[in-house]
Amino acid sequence: MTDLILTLLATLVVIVILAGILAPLETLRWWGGMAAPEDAASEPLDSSTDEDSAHPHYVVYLSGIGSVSGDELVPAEVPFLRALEEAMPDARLLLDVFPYSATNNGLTGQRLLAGAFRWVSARRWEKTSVTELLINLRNAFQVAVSADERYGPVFNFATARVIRDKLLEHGYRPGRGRRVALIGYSGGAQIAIGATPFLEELIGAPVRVISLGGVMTGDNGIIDTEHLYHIYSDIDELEKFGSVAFPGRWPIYTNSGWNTALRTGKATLILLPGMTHTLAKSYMDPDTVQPDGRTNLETTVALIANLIRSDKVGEREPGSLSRAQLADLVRRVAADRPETAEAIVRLLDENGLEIQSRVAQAAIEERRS
Amino acid sequence: MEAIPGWLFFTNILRAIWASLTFDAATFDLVLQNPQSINVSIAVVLLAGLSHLIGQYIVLIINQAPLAARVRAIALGLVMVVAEFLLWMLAIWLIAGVVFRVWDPPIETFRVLGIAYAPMILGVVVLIPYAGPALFQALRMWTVLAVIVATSVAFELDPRAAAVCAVAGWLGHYPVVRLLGRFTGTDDSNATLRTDEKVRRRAAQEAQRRGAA
Repeated sequence: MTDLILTLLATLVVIVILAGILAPLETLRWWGGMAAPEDAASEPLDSSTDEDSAHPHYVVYLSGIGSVSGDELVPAEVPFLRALEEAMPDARLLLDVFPYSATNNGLTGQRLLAGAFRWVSARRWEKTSVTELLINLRNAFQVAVSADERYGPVFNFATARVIRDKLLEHGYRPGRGRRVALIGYSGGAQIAIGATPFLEELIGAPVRVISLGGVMTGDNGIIDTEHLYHIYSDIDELEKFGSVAFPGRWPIYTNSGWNTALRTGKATLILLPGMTHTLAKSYMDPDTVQPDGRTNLETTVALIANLIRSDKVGEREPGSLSRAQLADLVRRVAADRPETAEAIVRLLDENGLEIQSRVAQAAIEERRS
Repeated sequence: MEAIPGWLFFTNILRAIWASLTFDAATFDLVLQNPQSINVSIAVVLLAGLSHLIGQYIVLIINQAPLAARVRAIALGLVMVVAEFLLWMLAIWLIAGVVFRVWDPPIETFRVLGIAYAPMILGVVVLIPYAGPALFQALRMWTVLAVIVATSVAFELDPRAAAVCAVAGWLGHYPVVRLLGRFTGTDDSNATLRTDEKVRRRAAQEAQRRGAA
């Protein structure tokens, strides 16, 4: 009996390792295709197209790791999303992005294991089903792909393009500075943080990120966001796991993106006490009532709607530089006049622009190497 | 571990991996007694090198390196991995001889230490996103421990003396390996940084073409 259990455990470990090794393949395949001549999505926009002026806010929802495709909402998230839509009639809420694929290809879409995932997906809500774990595992590995230094830039660029394309489909017009917010629930927060620097570049507008119980790394993307609001709870164990599993979130790494963002006011932590990550008492629970008489769901929705409407964080002024533009400028200056580039860094330092100073310093070092 | 041709060769490699992972001194002793097991040792070192190279190759793909550069990097990488093992083995052999006055035939040292290198065959785990590089470093540490056991068997040293040989040998060979890596271009610590920059530039170009920037 012990042998059988050990064999099963060993098989499970091998399967998990294989799943991990194969996880970045979709991203790599997509990136291989990107080397070809420009694809259709790169055609210039028709600038005469009218923008949807009825919706000043564009909000993209990135689901948790239980998501199967962009066409199918996770049942537990539906009441929350409907309530959010009602709370923000002036916002265009996009729900059709599947965050765990470089090509927005759902697990039941055009892929080798689509049949298997359809079977798994059909049984996942049965009471004794463990098939949901398979979906969670598959998507958790994509969160890891996003957080990885090697694969992350490619995957995050890909998801930024997916989000950009969905924004365009829904009437968004890049280059006009209209603000965009990404709501990332659980692992979706990592995808949001990863995609933000590229999305800002692609749409030419600031992007704010709202992390709801986000399980995310502390490194990439955070200092590029217009602002990160991280909603957490004292009894949300999965969110706590994220703060332990990703060293960039540890306080000792004072220069990590996470700690820099907290220090410079780029990130705000918001505590919602007494809420769990999923199931009963969760952020999205419509039944549990808080001491102020509102349900968990109402509390979370009201908070997020306020954060999206908030003007506390202003839009980027016309003509100001994005992080990528600043880096490009400093690189060019450093090529001809290294001393001027160093002076730019000093100037940024003297004015307390810590993040910009780090960007400029990195550009100089890159030019040197 | 009898050197039997055919499918048992593969079984012996699996046994080598298991012996290394479990620090099984008896298997190392068996290898020491059996001169024909050198084939397994050679296979283990080459497979470990191949496993390591797959990890490096992924970075080359991401950086969209030209085919010629990939072939060159793979060839050099394989040479480097074998050289790394041989340098470490040489360092251990010298320390055991000079410090502990135990001079064994180098070929015996190679046979046993080659088997101890088996955990690195699993080096392909470096491909696992995020956790991969940490797992790879853990395998390296595991290999050092297996080499300590193997050194103890090969030179009939007590574990503390074997640890001195293995760790000092590792510390001694490491700067040489880094230097060789720099010289041949296989030790590229900026590869990941370049990936990030390449993708950012691609995003900027795309934004410019679409008139968003």
